[in-house]
Amino acid sequence: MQIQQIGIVGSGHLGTILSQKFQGSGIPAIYVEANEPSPAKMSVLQDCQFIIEVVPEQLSEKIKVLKHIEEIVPSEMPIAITISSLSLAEIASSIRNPERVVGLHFFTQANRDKLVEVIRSLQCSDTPYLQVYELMKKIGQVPVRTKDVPGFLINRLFVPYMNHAIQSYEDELTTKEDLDTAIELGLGYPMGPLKLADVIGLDDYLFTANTLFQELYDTKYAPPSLVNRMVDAGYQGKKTQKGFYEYSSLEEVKE
Amino acid sequence: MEPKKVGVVGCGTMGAGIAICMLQSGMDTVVCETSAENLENGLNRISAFFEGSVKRGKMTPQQKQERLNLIQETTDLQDLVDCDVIVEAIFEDVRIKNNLFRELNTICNHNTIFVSNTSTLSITSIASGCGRQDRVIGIHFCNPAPLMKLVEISHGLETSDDTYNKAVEFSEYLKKKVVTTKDTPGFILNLLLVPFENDCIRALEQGIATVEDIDLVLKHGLGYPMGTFELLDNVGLDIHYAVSMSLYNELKDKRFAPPPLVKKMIDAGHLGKKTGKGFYEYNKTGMFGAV
Repeated sequence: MQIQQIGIVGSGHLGTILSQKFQGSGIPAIYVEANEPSPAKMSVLQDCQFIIEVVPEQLSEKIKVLKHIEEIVPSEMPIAITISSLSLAEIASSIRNPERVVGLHFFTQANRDKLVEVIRSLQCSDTPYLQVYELMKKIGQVPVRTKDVPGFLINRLFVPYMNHAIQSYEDELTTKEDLDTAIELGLGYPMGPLKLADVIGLDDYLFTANTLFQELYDTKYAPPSLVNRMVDAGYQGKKTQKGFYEYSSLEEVKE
Repeated sequence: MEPKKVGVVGCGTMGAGIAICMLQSGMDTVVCETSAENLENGLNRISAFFEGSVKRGKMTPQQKQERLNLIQETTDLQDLVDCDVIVEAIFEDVRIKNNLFRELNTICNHNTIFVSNTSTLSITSIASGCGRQDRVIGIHFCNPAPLMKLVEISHGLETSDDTYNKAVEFSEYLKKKVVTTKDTPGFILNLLLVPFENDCIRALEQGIATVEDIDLVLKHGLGYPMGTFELLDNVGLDIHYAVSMSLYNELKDKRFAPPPLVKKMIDAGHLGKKTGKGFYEYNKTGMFGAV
């Protein structure tokens, strides 16, 4: 399928990155700010073949923008929405044709920015789902297909592992250095779990783990109390120069 | 301590790998197996590894021969009498390992240190009543031992500080990076790896994603060198089942219990690379040393 034009609706960093990826792949993309959507500005979306919504992760905002889009584009046009922890089914249900809504979970951290989870809700039909999956390949992403379950695929696997590692440290199984070294040299992972938690940010990690736990009520998703206490103490990781490790202010803090 | 003479009991995949580490560090190495046939298979593993090194230009044929000349092969435990360190890499069963150490205790010099390469069993249990509990310690090598830099050292309740220090020196002599853990099930690596692997299998069972997509997420999203299903096929589903059950029996935590799919695959003979089919299909069976 020759793609004529993609419409990106939203604001922020991810919208900019995506626009660049499309342009770099030779696919024209038009970018519409979602802050104050006016019918005149939104009308350019009519001529697109896909819409990608990149509004920040807040349910009411996402629904509001989606309803605006719905009024402008044809009823069969696939709409991909970026999502990281909300329920895709709930957002899709807010419009008349939820079967054309597909979820995309991007990773903005530098070393994993090729991956995108392509999420299928209960309502989603085959054609738009496959079209969005293929679209992601066209712009050089590595798409993986997953369902609309809490944490999707990656966080569902990642959070229990991280919790377990942090709990083992809290239980004094070994030192933080030996724990990270074991994982890096024994399993070949790029970074030990405690270092990685510092890079992610303990507060952000806590939010992700709590979100999963509050949906699944399985204790393997519940963050260890040490994480709560560290966040209480202001030890959020690299960004506050103290987490499991201490960081000097001179060290570059990467996202 | 600079060990002059060391021993390996059991020369399967792990035992052969550990013997290779010893030979590469220039130690006289006694390789002990239960039968002439097992011994020959084990020595072939060792020889094949060095042959591979020669083919890749990492070693001359002469260096290979020098290393092989350091081997003293035997099926008699008596030949381990004057070893400084003996590493056991036999079947993962506490009673069998404990019996071995009891027997070795009656044979070996007073100063000989007994090392268990167990991945999931208790060092304290393996040492129990063997007669030299203070000179028994765990050094868990990672597979493939010649290539992986890490060892996990764990001391049993009765292991002496002197034995611990010697075990650290011995490991460093093998050019391994040491991490120290408690004598708890799975130490660090298997404690964290096994439930993670089981979570991946459960995600597959629940239809959340395919084998290929789960492996893609791990490699591209988390930067892991290998996907879980690739890894499990390499390890063997039968081994994974045994390790999972061993941890579950100790910890009674369902995260460690092997998901039903594992048992089904074993029943169907889908053990991984070694049978040509596991989570993936393979054209030819994987060979040790081909890595």
